[in-house]
Order: sequence, then structure tokens, then C-alpha cells
Amino acid sequence: MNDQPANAAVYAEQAFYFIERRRLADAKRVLAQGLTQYPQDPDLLFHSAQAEWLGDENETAENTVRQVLVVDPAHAPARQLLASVLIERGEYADGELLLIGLLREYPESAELYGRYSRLMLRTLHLEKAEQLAREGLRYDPEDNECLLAAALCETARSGARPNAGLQKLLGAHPESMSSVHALVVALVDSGRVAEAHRIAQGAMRVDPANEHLVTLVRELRIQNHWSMKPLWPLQKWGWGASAVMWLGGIIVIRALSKSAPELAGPVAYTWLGYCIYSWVWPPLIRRIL
Amino acid sequence: MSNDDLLRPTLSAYSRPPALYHKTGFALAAFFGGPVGAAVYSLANTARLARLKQDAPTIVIVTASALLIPVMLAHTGQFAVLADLAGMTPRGAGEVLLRGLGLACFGATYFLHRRFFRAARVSGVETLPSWPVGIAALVTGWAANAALMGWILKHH
Repeated sequence: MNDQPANAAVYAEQAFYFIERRRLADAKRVLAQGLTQYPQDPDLLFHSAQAEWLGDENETAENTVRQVLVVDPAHAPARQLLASVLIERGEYADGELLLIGLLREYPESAELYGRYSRLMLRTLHLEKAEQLAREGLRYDPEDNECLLAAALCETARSGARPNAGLQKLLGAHPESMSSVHALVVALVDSGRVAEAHRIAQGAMRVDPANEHLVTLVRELRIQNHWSMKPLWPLQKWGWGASAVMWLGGIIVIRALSKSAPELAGPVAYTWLGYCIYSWVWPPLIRRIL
Repeated sequence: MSNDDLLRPTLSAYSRPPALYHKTGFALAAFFGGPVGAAVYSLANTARLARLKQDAPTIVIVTASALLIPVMLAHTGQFAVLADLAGMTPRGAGEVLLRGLGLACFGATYFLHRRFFRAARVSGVETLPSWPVGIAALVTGWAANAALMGWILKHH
């Protein structure tokens, strides 16, 4: 019995099955077989580019996706992937033109609005990012990309305050990695590092091959380590806390040296020790853990 | 904004996309360079955000107000009282005051751009190399602080 796929579509389907499950080596094996028989098939080439992109082979992915567009210039998923590759490389203007072209052809695609919104957020055009996410949600109120973009815009605008966009995103897509990422960012921003660490750890158990999550969990583990607890005010309020610490330290030590000189020395040494600890320990623990 | 406006390109291959200089450099430039150091750094950020028209007047007003404080203190004779209270020489008290005012200016202008700093953070945008701007802000700030303190000590 011959169990080899009979045509390019079957190879593409098999490859997509593996790509969805992040089994990139299996996907590439199936695609290599398919492409020896159908070297110009746009879908097989596209899935190849997708597997390369997910495997962080961005340059190879770009070459392959350009091959798709030579064979089929209107291939929408390939144009979307090329936009992602260009944006990742910092060629934002070209990525934007591709997304606008796609949106003109598919004006009701909420996902495209969401992607365009994320690009605008990345290039710090916050107002336009918000409007694009809103526009996309008009077409599909549950779209993951738009909900994520809206949640990130709201996090950028309102920081630690309650985030309605994030609630909607988590309600609609609690399983999505991007929901987890948005939630973790919002929690870290509001200084709730322990919760962010717990959520990221849970997500990593579901998808242990995700390198981004592994890095995120490692960073949160460092921030949540017991030896970092004394630095909690600096983590939560950042430079505001640093400024208060410096000025407060100078003023208090000066005042003590006049009113209670016997206390001024110990307080000054404690304060200096804390300053040195806050500079030296965070980079050191990153090397140790 | 209509749908047509939304689909009009915002970015151009011929101009740099908006970005921000490092927040740490900003705080350090403000601390060591005083209000003028903070202004130089925040104007550089404003230029990279292409928001000079909207934000430059606020930055100039904040900086001018901060610089007026030591001048007014000296003019009303409060500067020497302040230095005496803190147990410092007038020059030392002036330096601490200018550092505090630099941090206050940092806070005010950071507040102005806070949503952009957060947007950069949530979308994983890396900050620009900040050494050249930081050094320019420090040098300008130091020179301005020295000139202001020199003027205050000479005339009051």
C-alpha cells in the first residue's frame, strides 16, 4: 500500500498540522518531500516559509516567501508573512505598505487591522494604533489580534489601572499565548511580579518549547527571587523611587548630621549599602541564576 | 479619522521611525545635568517622537520655571537661609537644589511622554543608543548649572 500523499494539497495539509503543533522538524521533512515533486506549489512554499519563520530563520523565510510571491503575487498569507518578516527586520514602512495593500483588498479583515495596529504601537503611533484596533473590533469583536492590540494600547495609556481591554482579551481567548503575554506585561507594569511569574510558569508548562516564554519565566524568576525583595520599591515605582531615594537620603542624612550626629553615620552607611546593592545585585543574580 | 485616513501610510522609508532614548540615561542626565540637562534629553526624545511642535513649549516652560526657583530664592534672600538650614555652603546647597529640580523636570517631562515609554515597553521596542544624547545633556547641563550658580553667588 502506498501511504505517500497523492498531491501537493495533502502535503500542505500535513505540513500545516505539524506547524500548528510546533513540530517544525516534521513539517520541514514533509515539505521537503512535497517540494521535490511540486517545487513551484505556492502553498508548499508558503508553509516552508512559515516553518522557517517560526524556527527563527528569518532570512531564509524571506527568500522563500518571495519565491511564493513570484509564483502567485496575490497570495495573501504570503504577503502577511512578508510584512511580519519586514517589520521584524525594522523595515516598518515597507511592512506598513504591505498591510495597507492587504487591507484594501480585505477591508473587513479584523486580523489585518489588529496586525496594523500592533505595527503602529511598535512605532509609537498610539492614537492610530487605538483607532485601528477599534475599527477591527467593529468587524469581529472577538478577534484575537485586535483584542490584543486594544489591550496593549490600554496598558500603554493607563498602566496599572484596571484594564477593560485585557479583561475582554482574557475572556475571549484565555488559552492564547498573546493573552498570557499581555497579562504578564500588565502585571509586571503594576508591580505584581509574583502573579506574573506564576502565570508565565503555567503557560510555559503548556508550551515548554516556546523560547520566548522560557526567557520570560527566567526573567520573572529573577525579579521574584527573595534576594530581590528589598528592591521592591525600585521595581514597582522605577525611577520615581530612585529619585525619592537619592533626594530623601541626602536630605535625611544632612538633617541627622545637624540634629543627631551619632545616627548620621550608621544611616549614611546603610543608605549607601542599599544603593550599592541596588546597582550590583540585579546584574549579578542574572549571571548566577 | 475615516477609514481612508486610517489606511493612509504613516511611516516613510526616508524618515526614521519614532523611538525613544533610554529612561535610565534620562534620569541620570536630569540628576547630574539639572533642569537644562533634563530639557536637552527630553527635547531629543521629543524630536525622535516627531512631537517638537506639541511638546517643546511645555518642556521650555517647565525648565524655565525650574531655573527661576533658585533665582527667586536668591533674590528674596532665602537662598542663604536654605543653605544654612541644610548645613551646606551656598554652592553645595545650590548644586543639591539644581539636582532636585533636574529630577523634578525629569518627572514632569517623563509624565508628558509616559504613554510612549509604556507603548515601547509593551510592544518590546528597544531603546536607542543613548550615550551621545546623555553626554550632550550632561555637558550642557553642567555648563548651565555652573553659569547659574556663578551668577547667583556673584550677585547675591
